[in-house]
Amino acid sequence: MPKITVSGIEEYIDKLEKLGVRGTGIMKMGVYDGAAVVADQIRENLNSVVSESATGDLAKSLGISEMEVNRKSVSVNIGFSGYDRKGVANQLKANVLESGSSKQKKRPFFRPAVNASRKKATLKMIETISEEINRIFK
Amino acid sequence: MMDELKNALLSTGYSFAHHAWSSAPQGDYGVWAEDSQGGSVWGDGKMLNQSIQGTIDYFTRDDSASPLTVIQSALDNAGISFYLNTVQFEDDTGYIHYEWVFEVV
Repeated sequence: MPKITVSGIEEYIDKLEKLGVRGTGIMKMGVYDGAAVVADQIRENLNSVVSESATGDLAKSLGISEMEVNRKSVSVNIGFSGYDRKGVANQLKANVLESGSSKQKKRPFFRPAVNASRKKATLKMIETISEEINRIFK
Repeated sequence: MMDELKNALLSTGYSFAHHAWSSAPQGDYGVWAEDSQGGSVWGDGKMLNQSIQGTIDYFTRDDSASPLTVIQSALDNAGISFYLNTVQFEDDTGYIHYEWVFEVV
């Protein structure tokens, strides 16, 4: 976890005030960097399960949503958007790959990627947030 | 624990195969497959504990709640952690596709 070292109550209050003003922005940076780690792993997994003749449209449609901020949390969604060149929704194609059907064997890539990158993403968020806090307190 | 998962699924009386069926099954059928590590605990430079995650898929044309209840009860009775991830209807085949994610240690 990020650490803050203070030597007195006034300095402590001063640091908390600075953090209060910029806190949400710092959290956003941390969440975004963490999400990028997860998205990279999803893209890597996706590329390993699609055929060699794949157009790459699906991988290109993977993205991170705009930040959602409420009183309790800062979050983003990672997913697929738009349609491929045949007019098929990319989200639907990703879902068929992930869950399969009675006609197509499943090739899970999304959930395993989230599992595999969870720890790395958490560490990245801690790193980013720590760096930003330290920058403010210098 | 993977054996317990297998036994739990076979106890339902439904047809299940591991990873894939060697030939296209007729009627209702299921598949289970492990696909990733759910979590792990490390100590003294060694992995002390590891959970395995995967999916159970069941394709049925039975539109009652029976398959859902039977499979989930079997997993519950075996002490297997799971959640129902998706339920999808295939327009072209008429199958209802249940998909659970399981995690075993």
